Amino acid sequence: MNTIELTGEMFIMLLPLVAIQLGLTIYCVIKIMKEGVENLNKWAWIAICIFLNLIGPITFLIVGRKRDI
Amino acid sequence: MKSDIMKELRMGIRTSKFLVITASFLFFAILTPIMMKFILPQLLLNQFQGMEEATISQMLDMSQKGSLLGYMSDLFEIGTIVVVFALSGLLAQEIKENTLVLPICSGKKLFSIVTSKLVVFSIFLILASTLGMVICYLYAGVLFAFDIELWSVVVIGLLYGGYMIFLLNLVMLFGTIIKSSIGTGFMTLGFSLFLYFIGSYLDVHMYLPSGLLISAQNILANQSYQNLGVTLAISIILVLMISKITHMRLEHREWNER
Repeated sequence: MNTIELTGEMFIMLLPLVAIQLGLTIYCVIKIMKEGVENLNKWAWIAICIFLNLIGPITFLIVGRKRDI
Repeated sequence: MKSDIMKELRMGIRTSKFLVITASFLFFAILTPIMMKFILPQLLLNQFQGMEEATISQMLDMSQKGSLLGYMSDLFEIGTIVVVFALSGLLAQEIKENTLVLPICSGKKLFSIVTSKLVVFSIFLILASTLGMVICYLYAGVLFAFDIELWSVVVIGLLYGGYMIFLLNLVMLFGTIIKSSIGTGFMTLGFSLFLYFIGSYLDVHMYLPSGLLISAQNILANQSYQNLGVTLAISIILVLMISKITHMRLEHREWNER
């Protein structure tokens, strides 16, 4: 089995990535709850945003947001 | 014109276009050096038990240059997809939903509307790709060593920004042809990959906007600025031609059709 040891240095370097990922996920979940969604249902988009790193929130922001004309 | 630019800025923020592109550029700018330094060597060590670290560093280009090359390939493969699909609705959506009719009827010029979109997103794409490149440079420098000049990294970022501007123009042009924004995205992506393939197959990158990417790689690999002038001139001419055609297509459009 592949195991990757998380060192202190690696953790510090990864923090900005975690911040981007977490920030995007929270932003998208708030958008989903406040504005509604398109193409899939609300819970599916929330699951996509939480479980698919970066790709999930970006996909939601491109194709899942409810547009107000 | 100023009000159109402000409107595009507000729309870019409201529709999260700026956020999507910036987040993905920064994500890969930070991820690539970390992958090179920590994750890839550990994965290789796990896969090939007993392999020495010196052998791994021979297999991977574990340097600032290697990280930047990795980031550049990510930017071409994934960054292109993100940029194309994030911006695919710029004109296609507006035409489909008839949201351009009101500004046109209230006296706004089509030239001003199209140019403001191009100006705002071109400046943004240039800034985003240069910023991503500089962040990758700094991260890789801290993790490995600073063995490249910052100036050449800024030039590489500007060249990538130039290629993204070409994609933006293609998105706008195809947006006037296909009303669906996803269709516009696929069309732009297909066309840009086709151009890249043609450039590689016939070895004519120099005469295509994809030559900007090749020039960026040459600058990083051996500080060579050969053929950059020709590629830049051809890219600028192409971009101007594409935006002129986009403008002409919009001018000849029947806006009140049902």
